[in-house]
Amino acid sequence: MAFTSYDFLLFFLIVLVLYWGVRERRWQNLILLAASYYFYGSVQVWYAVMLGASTTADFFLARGMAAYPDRKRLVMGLSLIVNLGVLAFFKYFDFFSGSVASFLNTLGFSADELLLKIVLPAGLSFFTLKKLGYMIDVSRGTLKPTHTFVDFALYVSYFPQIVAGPIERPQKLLPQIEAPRTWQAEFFYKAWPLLVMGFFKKLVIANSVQVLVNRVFSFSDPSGFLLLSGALGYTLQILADFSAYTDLSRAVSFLLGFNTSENFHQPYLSLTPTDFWNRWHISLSTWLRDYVFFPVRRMALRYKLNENLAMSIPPLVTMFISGLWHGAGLNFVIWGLYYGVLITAYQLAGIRGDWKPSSKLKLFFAWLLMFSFIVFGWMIFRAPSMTWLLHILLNSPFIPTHNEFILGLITMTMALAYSLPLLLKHLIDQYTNESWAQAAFYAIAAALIVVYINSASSDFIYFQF
Amino acid sequence: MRFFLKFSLILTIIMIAASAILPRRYEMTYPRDPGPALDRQVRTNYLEAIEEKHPQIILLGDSTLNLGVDVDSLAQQTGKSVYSMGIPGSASALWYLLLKNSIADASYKPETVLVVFRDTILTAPGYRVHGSYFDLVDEYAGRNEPVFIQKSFVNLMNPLEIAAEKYFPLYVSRADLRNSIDTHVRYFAPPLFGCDEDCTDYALGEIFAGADLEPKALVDAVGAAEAYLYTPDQLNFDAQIERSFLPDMIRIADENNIQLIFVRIKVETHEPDAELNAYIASLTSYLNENHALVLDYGNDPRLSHEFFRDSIHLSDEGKVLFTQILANGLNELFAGK
Repeated sequence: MAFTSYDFLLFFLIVLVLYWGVRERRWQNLILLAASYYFYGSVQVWYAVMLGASTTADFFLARGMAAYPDRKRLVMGLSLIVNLGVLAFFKYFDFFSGSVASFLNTLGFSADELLLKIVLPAGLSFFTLKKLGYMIDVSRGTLKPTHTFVDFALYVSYFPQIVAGPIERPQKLLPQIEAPRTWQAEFFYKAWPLLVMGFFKKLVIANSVQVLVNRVFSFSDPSGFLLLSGALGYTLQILADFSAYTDLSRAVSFLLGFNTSENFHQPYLSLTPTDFWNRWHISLSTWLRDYVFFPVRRMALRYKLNENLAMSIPPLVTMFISGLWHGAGLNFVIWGLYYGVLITAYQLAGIRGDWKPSSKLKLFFAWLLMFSFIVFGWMIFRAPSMTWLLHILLNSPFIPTHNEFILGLITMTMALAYSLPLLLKHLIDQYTNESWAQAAFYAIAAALIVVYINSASSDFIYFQF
Repeated sequence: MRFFLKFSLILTIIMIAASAILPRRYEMTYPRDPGPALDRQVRTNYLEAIEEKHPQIILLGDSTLNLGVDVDSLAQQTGKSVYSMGIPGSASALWYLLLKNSIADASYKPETVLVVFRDTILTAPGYRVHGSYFDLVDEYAGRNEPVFIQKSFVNLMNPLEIAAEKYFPLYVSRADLRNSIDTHVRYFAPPLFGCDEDCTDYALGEIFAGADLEPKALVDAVGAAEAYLYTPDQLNFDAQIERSFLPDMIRIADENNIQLIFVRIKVETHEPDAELNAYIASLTSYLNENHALVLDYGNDPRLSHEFFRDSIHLSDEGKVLFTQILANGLNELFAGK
C-alpha cells in the first residue's frame, strides 16, 4: 500500500478518525499497532507474523538483559544472531536459492516453487536496524527497556516508517509513544507542506524522470555520454523519490501527533563525502556512525594501529556494511566501498567533513568535484550489473552516435528541467519564510500534482531495500 | 494558519482559472461522463480485408500470435483460408472492439474466430488500454463505446477518480497538459544543436525501435509488464468474468453465427501454480458452457524453453512447431464437429 495510493488514503482516514476519536493513549497505541500490522500484513500475512515473532523475541531479550545484567553479552549475541540471521537470509537468499533448489531437487524434493516464493519482506532492513539499535542501547545501559509490549511493538512496526524508514531511534520515538497525545491544529499546519512536497517530488519529478532513466540503463551497450545522462537523471530521481517518501512519512506522523526525523538536508550541496553522508539518508548514516563506525574506530585505537590505518579502516568497514545493507548485488557492495575509499582519501588529505574553502571559486570546484563523485556513485548503484558498467566504462566510446546524443540531451534537459523546482524552492526557503512566494510555490506544486497524478504510479525505490 | 490560508487562496485561484480555460481549450463540457473521449473515426482496414478475402478462419491476438503462428502454413495444414488480425500490444479490449466493429460489422462472416491468448489476459479489461496503448485501441473504437469505456476505465476507477473525471477539468486535461510540458522539455535542447522536431522524433524512433536491450533489463521489463496479469485480483476468475469482455465477445459471436475458439499459448513469465491452474479450469468450464471451444497449450511440454526467443514469444523454430500443434488441434476439432 503505497502512500500515493487511494487504498492508503482510505486506510489512513479510517485510522485517523479512530485514533483521535478514542483520546486515551493506550487505545491510541493499540489502534496504531493494529493499523501497522494490517498495513504491513496486507502485502503478505506472513510478513506480519514474522514481524510479530521477532518483535516479541527482542522485547523479552531486552527485558532479560535488564533483569540479568551479568548475561547481557549472551543475550545481546542471541539478538544479533536472530536479527542479522533473518536479515541475511532474506537479503542474500537470491544468491543461494538456485543452488539450494537444485540440491533439493537432486534429493527428490520439488523445491523450486517454494523457493521462488521466498522474497525479501519490504522494510525488513529498516525495522531490523531499529530493533538492533534498541537492543544495543539497552545492552550499553544508555536506554532503559520499555515495560510495555504494545509500546515496543508499535515503535518497531510504526506504519509510516516500516517500509522505508526513517530508521527512528528509540530515544526519539518511544517517549512520544509513551506520552499522552491530543489533537492540535499545529499538527496539520506542519503536515500539509510535507504532503504537498512529498506528492510533488514523487509524482511530478521522480516518476517523470524515471521513464528515460530506465530506458538508458536498459540498453546493452550505451555510449559513455548516454550513460552519463542516465546517471544525472537517476541522481535527481533517487533524491526526489526517497525524500518524497520521507516527507510523506513525516507528514503522516505529524497528523498522528508524532515528530519524526528528517532524512535529507540538501545532500547534493555537499563539499565532501563525509558531508554527503551527514545529509543523505541521515537516519541510516547516524545509525551506522553510532553502532559501526565508532565501535570500529575505538577498536582500531585500542589495538594501536598506525594513524593512517586507524583513519582508513572505520569508514571502509562502515561503508562496506552500508553497501551490504542495501542489497546482495556486487554493485551495492562496490558502491559502499567506493564511498569508504572517498571518505578515507579526503580524510588522509586533511579534508574533514565540515571543511569549507574560503574562496568562492574553490568552493565551486569543491562542490563540482563532490557532485561528480556522487553522480558516479549513483551510476554504480543503478547499473544492472558491474559487468555491464565495466564493459561500458572500459570498452564503449564516450562520443555517442547522433541518435544517442539526442536521447542523452533530452535526458539531461529533463533532469535539469525537473530539478529546477527543487532549486527554486531552496532559494525561496532561504530568503523568505511563509511568504506569498512560498505559498504560490506550494499552490502551483499542488496543481501540478493533479496534472501528473496517475493511478498506476510506481513503487518508491527504497521499498526494495 | 495564515500561511495555509495564503496557499489555499492561490490554489483556489489556479483551480478556478483552470476550470474556466481548460474546457474551452480542449472543447469539453461539464459535468462529463467519466472515461476518455474517443475520436469519431473507426479504422476499417481489417473490415475491408475481410470483405475482400472472405477467410474461413480469423485469428485475433497480439505479438505472441504474430510470432507464434505461421498463417500460410496453418491454412495449408487445415485446408481452410486463414486471415490474421494480430496486433502487437493488443489485449482483450482491442480484441472485443475488433470482433464488434471489424468482424461482426462485415457483410461476410467467417466460420471461426480464433483468439490466441495467454493466461489471464481475457479477463483483464484494463490491460493495455492506457497511455500509448489507448491511441491504438481508439483507432478501432467508434465514437460511442459504452461497454469499452465502462469495463476498461470506469469499473477500474475509485470514487474519487470518478468524481474528478466528472467535475474537475484540471484532472481530465492532465494527459494533454503533461504532454504539452513534456513536448516543451523534449524539443528544447536538440534545436540548439541543429536537430529540429522531426529530426528529434526520428532519432528517438530509431534508437528505441532498434534498441539493443540488456538481456536482464528486457526480462525485467517484460516481467514487470506481465506481472499485472498474475495479481490476486486478476487470478480471481469469478470476480473478473462479468467485468471482462468475454461475455460480450461470446454474445457477439452467437448473434453472428461465428464459432469462437480460444487458444491458450504457452509463456514463460509465470510458473504454473495452483491459483493459475484453478483460474484456467474455471475459464475453460465457463467457455465450454457458453459453446466456445478451448485449445489449451499453456503447459504443453513440447514447447520447451529452447523454442522461445524471450519469455513470451516463440522463436522461428517454435513458430513452426506451434503452428503444427495448433493445426493438429484444429483439425481434430473440425473433424469432431
